[in-house]
Amino acid sequence: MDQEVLKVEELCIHIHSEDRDYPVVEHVSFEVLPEHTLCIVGESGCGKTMTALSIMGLLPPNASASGKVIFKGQNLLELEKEQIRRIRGKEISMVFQDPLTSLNPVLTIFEQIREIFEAHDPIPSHLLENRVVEVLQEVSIPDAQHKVHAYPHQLSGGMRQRVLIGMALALGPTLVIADEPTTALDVTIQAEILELFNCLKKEKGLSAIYITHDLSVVSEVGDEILIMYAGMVVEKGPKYQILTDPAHPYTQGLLKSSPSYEKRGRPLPFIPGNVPSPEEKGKGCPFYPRCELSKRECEISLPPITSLGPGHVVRCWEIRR
Amino acid sequence: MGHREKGSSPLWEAWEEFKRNKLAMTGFITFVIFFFVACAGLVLTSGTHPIYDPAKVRLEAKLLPPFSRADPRILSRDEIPPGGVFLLGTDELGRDVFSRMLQGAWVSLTVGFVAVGISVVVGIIIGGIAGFYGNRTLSLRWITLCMLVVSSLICGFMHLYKGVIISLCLLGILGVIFQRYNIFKGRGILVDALIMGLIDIMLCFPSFFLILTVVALLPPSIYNIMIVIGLTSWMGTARFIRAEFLSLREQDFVIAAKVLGVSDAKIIFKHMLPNGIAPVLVSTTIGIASAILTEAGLSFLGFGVPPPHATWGGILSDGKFYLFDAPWLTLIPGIAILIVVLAFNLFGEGLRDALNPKITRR
Repeated sequence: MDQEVLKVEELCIHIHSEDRDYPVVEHVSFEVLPEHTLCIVGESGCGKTMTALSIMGLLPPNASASGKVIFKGQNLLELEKEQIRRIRGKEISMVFQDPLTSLNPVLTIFEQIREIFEAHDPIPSHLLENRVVEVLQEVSIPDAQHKVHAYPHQLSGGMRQRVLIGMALALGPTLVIADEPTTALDVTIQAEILELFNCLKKEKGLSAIYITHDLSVVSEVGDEILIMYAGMVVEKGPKYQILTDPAHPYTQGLLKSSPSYEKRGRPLPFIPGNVPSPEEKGKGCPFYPRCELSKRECEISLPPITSLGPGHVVRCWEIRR
Repeated sequence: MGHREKGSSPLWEAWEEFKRNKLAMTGFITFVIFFFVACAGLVLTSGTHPIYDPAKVRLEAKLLPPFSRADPRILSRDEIPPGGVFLLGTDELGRDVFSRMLQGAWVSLTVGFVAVGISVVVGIIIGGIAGFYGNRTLSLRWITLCMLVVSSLICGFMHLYKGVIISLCLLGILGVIFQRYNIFKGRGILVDALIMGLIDIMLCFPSFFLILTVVALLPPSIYNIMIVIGLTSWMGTARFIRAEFLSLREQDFVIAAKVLGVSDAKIIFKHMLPNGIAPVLVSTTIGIASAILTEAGLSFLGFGVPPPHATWGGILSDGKFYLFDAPWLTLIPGIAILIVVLAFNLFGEGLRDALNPKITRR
């Protein structure tokens, strides 16, 4: 068995408001194996981004995390600010959703990439320019020598996302967290960026956490899939198992409602209702109000995690029977 | 290696936009001329034998109108100004108004710039803290103790030794109480609320009267005036910076910079400040105008720069007794103040339009 790169155990995140605490992520456990990609899939508001932010130590001040996030033998949740700052960017880095706002509009690309080197391992200034151009060439930006001195608004969305990926990979991190990196791009660019991402990952032997709500993207990049619903893991397993033989009714619903060629000409099924907000959640299964198979016990108590095979777990009463 | 394309930097674009605005360009050019005149004023009127001596008294040639020739039969050689002409006339003591205006221009310029410089620095620091660290909590106990320390320091500064003793006693008593009892324990106040409260308190004072009071208490000097004007006008800048930082703090590029391990100081000064500085720049130019106006007002009331040194407000004040006999004594400094203040305001407004192209695409 390989030693995992990142191990998250029983991660819980609470948001404190004035009168009470709301759980937004509850008892999430997963591990990322070397050179594997874990996809975290779920609707908006399921705690996907919160999970990623807690790994980076970037939770908003009114949120707190408990549990363990173990990276290279250290629990990231217990590190001092300065220690976690050294890990960010160098060991674990992140690519954000919106390339249009993730670059500072008043600084040139060169200035912004230079900063990563300054923050972690300063290199002499005469080598800096070459190194920065290399970063851009790595993510196949044409005419990188001139593009380094451009401002973000002079680049297209796809180019900007390439720059951001280049920045994330510049210092050779072990783990990259990509938070819906293709959501803000149009479909053709999306495919290009996905291919680039896969290519670089293979080349550099990276592990990745890929956060998305798009199941068609998952089939392109993932090795393992983690389905989240209302802050909980509802199903986790190898990619093909989940995509071909989903166990949880929510996963089944997601797969049914994603468009494909075979379903053309028919109305697309959908899962009625919305994700419950953290204050609406009851004691039982968070999915029961929207579930076709819901029984009385679903409302009363939370189903435990059940194993269905190697690496495949699911949280549902129906499966248990 | 790569060359920088012209017209790409945000500042360059703002300049291009600014150039199109004729009124603002007029203001800007006037400002540049004023700047050079003031610098020339410093050079020409200082030293033991200045070319234009603003302090030379010629009782034989008092209250001469502008452009009158200096009469070599009455005046000795070193009393005659360069060119032999009193360009802007003489005042009630026969001093050359042109020389005095030159000297006053430098005073106005330095007061305007230094005072606003102080207010911008203070405003950026306080507003930046409120905007970036605003959601942290300060414990009430800590604040109470700090306030007592500060009050004892202030009392010591003003030689009120009773006050020092009382504050220190209170400090000790409160320290003991805090250790024994549970008062204020775990209670806190948001940094943002504290700073905004302070700003609101500062804004409550009518600033001109606050300045008058402070200036009346302090020994008269040009530096005191700069500092006082600076320390009573930072609130606007602080509010602008806080507002900008509040929205910038949540921007993706700031979070992205954090993710890449960039330090707080770098994020504040390199990423956030250049993005949020535009409204401050605008308020700075208009602030310079109002600082010049305030200084002129203080000098007019006799609280400004001490007498032998000429200032525009001072010349105006001295000339008011001769309003009908020698109107140029009031008109010249009055018009000079008007032009400079107007130029700064036009410049500031043009800058606002140029830095905010979304608002005014005419």
